[in-house]
Amino acid sequence: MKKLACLMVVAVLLVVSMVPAFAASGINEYEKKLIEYVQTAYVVDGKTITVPAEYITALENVFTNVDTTEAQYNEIKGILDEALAFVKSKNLQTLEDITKTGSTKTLLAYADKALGVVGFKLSTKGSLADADHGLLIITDANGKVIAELHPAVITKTGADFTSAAFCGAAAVAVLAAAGVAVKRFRKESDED
Amino acid sequence: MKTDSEKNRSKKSYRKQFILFPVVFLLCGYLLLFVSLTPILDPLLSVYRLAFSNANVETIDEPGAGSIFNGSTGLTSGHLNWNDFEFPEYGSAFGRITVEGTEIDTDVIYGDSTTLLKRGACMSMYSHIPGCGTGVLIGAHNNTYFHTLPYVQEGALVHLETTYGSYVYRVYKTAILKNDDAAGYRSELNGDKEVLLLYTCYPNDTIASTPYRFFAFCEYVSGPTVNMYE
Repeated sequence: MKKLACLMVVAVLLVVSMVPAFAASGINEYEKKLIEYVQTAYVVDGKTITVPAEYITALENVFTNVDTTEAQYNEIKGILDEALAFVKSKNLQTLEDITKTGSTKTLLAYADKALGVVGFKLSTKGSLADADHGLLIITDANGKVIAELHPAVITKTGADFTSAAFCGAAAVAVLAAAGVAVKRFRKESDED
Repeated sequence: MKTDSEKNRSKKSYRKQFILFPVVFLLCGYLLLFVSLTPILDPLLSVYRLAFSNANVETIDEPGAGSIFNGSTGLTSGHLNWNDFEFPEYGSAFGRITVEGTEIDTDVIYGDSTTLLKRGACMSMYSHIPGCGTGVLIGAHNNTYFHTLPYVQEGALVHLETTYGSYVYRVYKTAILKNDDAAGYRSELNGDKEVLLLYTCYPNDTIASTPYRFFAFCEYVSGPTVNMYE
């Protein structure tokens, strides 16, 4: 649970650093510095939390669509420092700690603040504790989706059984109603 | 002569037989019709939206929509720097994948949200694009695009055409893993060797939610290498 909480916080920090720009590019030196920051700066109880490589990959993928300047780097780092200080001050250890103290909202607010500088917006869909369905969404000023991330690396690729479930439930309902009706009709005709 | 209680019973029975039951059957019937006709009506609704709304082929949520892939580039080797090609945008169909020995022949979408998974095989943003020399993670639904993935044999070739190059991989092992069994795929996903990981829910005929995933691990055979760093 502790690990999960840490991953969630790291994910939020990653999103904070996903400041978009308007020109596609490779990963430049400032973006490399931010990646390094995310990999090494988060310390809980004196222990550095190792960021899973998949999260770094996601960050790299986003950085290929942006071109972070030195000024932006400094601004982002400032926000990351604030977010880290907040996490440490709250001593967030478990997922419950984050939700109980309303810290998720605050951390997401840091991310939104950073993105808002360049007209972008961060939103969530569903609960981030739900790895399969929870979503972090980044949109631009026109509402175009820049990125969506489920907490789960391996997503749910099973059949969409909603229709089948509806169909089955309806069929069962019809059969049950028919059964009850026949029983009643038979009883009443027997009585007559 | 009927007593009052008999009259009441008769009235209640009348209500049930001629009002309640027909209404229940009608509603259930409509529900069944709705569910069974949805697959037929959906394409018609898409045509309607295309003809009578502001939507266009880029915005209609159908397989192939948002595609920036225009066929094979024919580029099977060489090296691409970050400024030599256009990085795919989130949600765009930037390639096509075919797998020997299966019926897989579908678009590859960049991103893998629940919505995108309805459109084709989806590349996870937790993995790199083909050519980067590390893991490429692509998943798709087991009842549609990757339905036949579990039938793939070791040695089968996987052809992945993208907007910037043509890639070939070879299946070297398959595995059935639990969705939270990161140890089963993490070294391939984050390693320093290019590996294509294809996965879908398993068993492929189930309609219920399953924690199992069928994985096909494919080694790199050919295709241009890509450098993302400036």
